[in-house]
Amino acid sequence: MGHFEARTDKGTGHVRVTLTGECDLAVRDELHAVLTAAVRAAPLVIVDLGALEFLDSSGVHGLIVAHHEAQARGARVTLVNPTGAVAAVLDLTGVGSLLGTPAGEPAPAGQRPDVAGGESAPVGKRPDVAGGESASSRHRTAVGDEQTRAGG
Amino acid sequence: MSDEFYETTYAEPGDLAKVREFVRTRAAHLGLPETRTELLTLAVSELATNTLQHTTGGGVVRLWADDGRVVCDVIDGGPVRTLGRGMPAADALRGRGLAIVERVCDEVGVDASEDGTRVRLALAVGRHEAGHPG
Repeated sequence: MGHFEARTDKGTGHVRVTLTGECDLAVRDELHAVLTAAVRAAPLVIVDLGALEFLDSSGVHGLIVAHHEAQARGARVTLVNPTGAVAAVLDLTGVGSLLGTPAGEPAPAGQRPDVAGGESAPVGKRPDVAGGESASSRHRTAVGDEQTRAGG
Repeated sequence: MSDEFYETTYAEPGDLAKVREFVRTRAAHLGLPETRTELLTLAVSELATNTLQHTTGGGVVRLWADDGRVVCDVIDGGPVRTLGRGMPAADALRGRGLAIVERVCDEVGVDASEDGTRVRLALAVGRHEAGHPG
């Protein structure tokens, strides 16, 4: 499992923050600083989780803080490409639904800049989010259900 | 079987990755499938994070196999946790850690042991529909 890194790429009208490695309490301040700067830099912050190997409630806290900061500025934070245990955490907490593009509802043209840039993973293509909660879903081990992957 | 167990300790945020690697390696060795091992790893990491955020000390993690389950104790100097609070709203800032633990484990119990406050987790090694509380 890898060391946490956050890379920011500025686009036109958006900022893309790519997280890699493991995101936990040890990197809380770093995550907060990166996301705060991103929210201040553009009206749309795309957080790419495709290479993130671990996310816990500390990381979710950072995402939600950024979400609130964005809302206060009329901006938006959206999460793309979560896989495995990261997708499971977002699903369990409802944060995947809150900050992902709802399945079956493509983001408006011009609002999903480089999501398609070399990757086939559509925003919000999360069958287990679209399927809704059922009693048995509490036992779902979403880890491994989700094969959507970022390229790299 | 509980006389044979693996143990590690943690004292600062930089130890959390080490704790997760410990759980991944040992739980897999005890036969827990990969997806369930990741869930147990998440749960233990949440509890250890809780220790580091809400107590002045660290904690101990013990892990062993018992009756078709992998059982894991996380022991610290914090107060006895209240279970069953449920998952906060998606846009809430706090309160998710223990709720995540309760959702991903088959069994979660809390008691005061002679070493401190003990949270005991268990996941079934076999079929994952086994024994979820509530």
